Amino acid sequence: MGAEWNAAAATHLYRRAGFGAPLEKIRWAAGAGRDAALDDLFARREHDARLMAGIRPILALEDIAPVQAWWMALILADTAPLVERVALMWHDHFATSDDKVGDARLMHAEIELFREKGLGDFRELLHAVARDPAMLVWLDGNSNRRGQPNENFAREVLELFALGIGHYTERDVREAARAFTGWGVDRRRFVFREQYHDPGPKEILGQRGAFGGDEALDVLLRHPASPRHVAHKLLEEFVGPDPSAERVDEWAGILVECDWNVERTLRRLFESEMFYSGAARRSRISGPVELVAITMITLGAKAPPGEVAEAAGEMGQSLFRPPGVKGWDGGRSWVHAGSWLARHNHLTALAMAHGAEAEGVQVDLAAGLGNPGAPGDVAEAARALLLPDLGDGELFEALRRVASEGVSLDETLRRVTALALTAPEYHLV
Amino acid sequence: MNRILAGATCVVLPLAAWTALPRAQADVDSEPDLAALMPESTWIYAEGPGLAGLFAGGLDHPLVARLLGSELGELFLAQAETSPEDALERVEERLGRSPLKALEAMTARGIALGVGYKRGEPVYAIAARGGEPEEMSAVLRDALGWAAEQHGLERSQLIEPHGRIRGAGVWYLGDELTLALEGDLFLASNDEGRLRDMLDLGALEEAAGLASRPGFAEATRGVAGDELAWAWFDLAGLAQVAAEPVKNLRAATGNPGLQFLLGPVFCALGSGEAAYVELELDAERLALDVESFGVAAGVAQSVQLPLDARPPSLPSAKESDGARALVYRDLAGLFRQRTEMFPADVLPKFAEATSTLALFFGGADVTDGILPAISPWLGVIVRPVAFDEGATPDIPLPAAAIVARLEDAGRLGEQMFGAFHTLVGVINVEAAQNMQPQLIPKLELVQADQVLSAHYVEPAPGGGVDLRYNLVPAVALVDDAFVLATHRELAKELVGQLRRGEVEAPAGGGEHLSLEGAAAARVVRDNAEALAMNGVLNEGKTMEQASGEVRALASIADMVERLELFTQRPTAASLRVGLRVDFTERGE
Repeated sequence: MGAEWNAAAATHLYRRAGFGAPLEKIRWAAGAGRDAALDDLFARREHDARLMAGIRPILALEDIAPVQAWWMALILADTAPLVERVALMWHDHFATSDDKVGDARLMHAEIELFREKGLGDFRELLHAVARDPAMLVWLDGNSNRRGQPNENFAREVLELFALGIGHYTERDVREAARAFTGWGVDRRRFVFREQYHDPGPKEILGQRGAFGGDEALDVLLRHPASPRHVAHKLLEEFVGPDPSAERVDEWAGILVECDWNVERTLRRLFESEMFYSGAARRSRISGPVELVAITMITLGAKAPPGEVAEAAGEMGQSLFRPPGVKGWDGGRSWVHAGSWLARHNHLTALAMAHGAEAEGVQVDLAAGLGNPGAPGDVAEAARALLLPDLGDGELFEALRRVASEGVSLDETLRRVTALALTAPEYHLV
Repeated sequence: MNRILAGATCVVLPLAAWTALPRAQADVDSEPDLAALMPESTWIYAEGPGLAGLFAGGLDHPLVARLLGSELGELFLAQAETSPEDALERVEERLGRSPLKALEAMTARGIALGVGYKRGEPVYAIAARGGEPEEMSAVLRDALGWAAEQHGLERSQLIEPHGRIRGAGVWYLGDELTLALEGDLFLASNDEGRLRDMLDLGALEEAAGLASRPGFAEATRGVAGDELAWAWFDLAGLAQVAAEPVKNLRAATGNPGLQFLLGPVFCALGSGEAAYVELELDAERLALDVESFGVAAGVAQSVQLPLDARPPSLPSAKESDGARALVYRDLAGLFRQRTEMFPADVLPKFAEATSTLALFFGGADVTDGILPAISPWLGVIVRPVAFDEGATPDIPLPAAAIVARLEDAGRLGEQMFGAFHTLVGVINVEAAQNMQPQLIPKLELVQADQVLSAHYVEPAPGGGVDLRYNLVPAVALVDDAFVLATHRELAKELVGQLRRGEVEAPAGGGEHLSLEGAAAARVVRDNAEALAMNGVLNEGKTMEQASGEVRALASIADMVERLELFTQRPTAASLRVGLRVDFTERGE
């Protein structure tokens, strides 16, 4: 093993592969070793059955807000962190929005698809997404008919889902659209309307045949750009932005070597030295959902999931409502004047809820930070849990100054935690 | 320290209220009523004459035993850190005597609470008449001695009076609480001046204090002395000195939405000069009456509910009925008198409503042509219905229907059917724009009567059934009785009942609502999962907590055989609201 395995490394793993972990888990992982931590992450796959079953009446309400709350409840439950992390990634990759789909059941079914197949064979996932009713509504599958093909889905599958810009032509888009003619939705189910399908010969990426939709997808998946496209996504999500071409090629090869299995590829990734390198840590700006979830789980805070989902929405990431076909822009776009204010206010309110008996957020910062004995110990405790890679520089000095202001332990916990959570460094994951 | 002692005493005093015993055969004629001990500037006054019977039995009292033995009680006890028996035993060990007996001694002949205001802050006063003065003195000494020990003080620092006022021993427990004991009279207040006033009033021979206020005497003349508790509120006074809730209550008559939702009597209840509230409770029944006196002429006029109200008959009750109501909503009157009844800022909403309603009635002026022809008496019936196979919603709700009598029913009935058609069309346009299922109109005959309804297309098999499938809206007309129902099957049932003459006149002369506990419990249980998930997702409860609360809610409903709510207008200037809850028989 290359990089040193310690609490900071464990924190990095749980934040990237899941949504953070409380101090107790980090201490355990640091002691048990990387492989044990990975076994733990990959083994936890089942949610509370009652929470899962509880979606049935929620869907009957025909409203996306309680479904958003439900998904956030699954994330905050931290019972299947990798499953939810990967589902969130595919929700961004195969973006559909309830703003257009307008059907909470379809949106939920799509996330269930990501949850079920997200860690499996990417090729199976792509085929399933292509038949997913939410996706077909989102990209106008019903209007894709012989003689008048609607190119929306074909364009996105080439550009965003499977290949990426630069690897196809406009003709490929038109031909692929013909292959998907007749694919539609009826009463929330995928239907193939043969009468609307164009059975004629097509030429896609230089290959010829009377392709249907599935055959067209196979053509795309056989193209060398396809594994690179998927590898690029995985590297951006789990390692850092703008991976080099060499690194993408390397991991495209590993993906194919793993028979396109996302779980096995991720395991290799989380075992790699690159994943734990200094360049990978804190290398991207956390998205709102991961920010609020990581903070809640790390500190052991409790809050109504609906409110947490709403807070993420105010910061710019409303679950089931990405802004467009490309998903969320991410990166620097997560932070602007309005969203920073929302982040600052939410995290400050969370820290200030310590010791308060008010409804809503409940957090015991003393327990969360490992019960520092005196105000003077709080800065170190906050650094260890929230900013484990932070050196003794300006920010840590600021934390220490706040911790030595001579106020009570409870107030010190609030102030130091608020400062740590609202420091720009904390918003890097 | 004093704050803590005051807190300890505050614990004892309310407990006293819970163990009051029946008035002893003492020379009660020579002592003033407890109300006579309260200053005239008391805005809220409450007595608990009937608490005796409830609490003399302690944990063995039938009602208490029943509550503790119910599923609700078991849930409560499961969450409590200690059992009631252990809690009482623990207090007895510390106090050196049975807390129930001690409280009995302090309040044997009554306990009252008065609330006044000084410079905007509430001033509380408690007056209690106990049994033997010597025993009361001993109880107080024990309680204060215990409190002293709890806070590391010498017993002597607290058990002896700190001073005397009019011969009464007085204890000052910080700035927060002053106690006085004179013979069998125990007084307490968070304001020393108020305590002095009470001792002064106690020395007077003629009726004085609050008891001498004419409004108080009039409002409380019905006190029989065997109520569990009763209370009097000076609404006009409270609106001057106290809080927003009272002001909001008095403003309810000027809110059209509340007028429509709650009706005229409820909205005007807070508008009187004073209100009297009476509570009776035993193991079989709860009765709560609220009467508002001195309702101003202008408000009384807007109440509309006729003094000699003669509500029309409704389709007869069926065993399956979940709820039935007869409400008075003079919509035509609300529109007609809108400028007198409501503030200017809400009047545009009437214009908006008139315009919207005109859309459904082919441009007709609803204020002149439609609403005056609809009887203000509206019957409401809630009854479960059987859904079509495969169309039972995942959140199943009982159906509800409104039955209204129409004047010129032939003409107006057609307009109502037309409005229904328009409504279905509007809903369908909206649904089409959002790719949602359409409502399919259907016309049926029940014997010779037409039932016009609309239903959603059958839900996709295996995909869950949305909340909207509770709605199979229907309208029907039987002679002059117009039926508007959320579900076709209920409309058809009511049409059959009306045509067969299966109708009954409701008892009483005012509005009336009855709710069956079993039906409410069924709705809660049918939707337990949805209610629990709401607690988890929106209130942050754990699944165990949320499920427990839903079970408790169902358990409360199980305990209720029937809940009845009624309104009356006894005189031109008084209004009354009554609540009756019959509990299910033990073991049901």
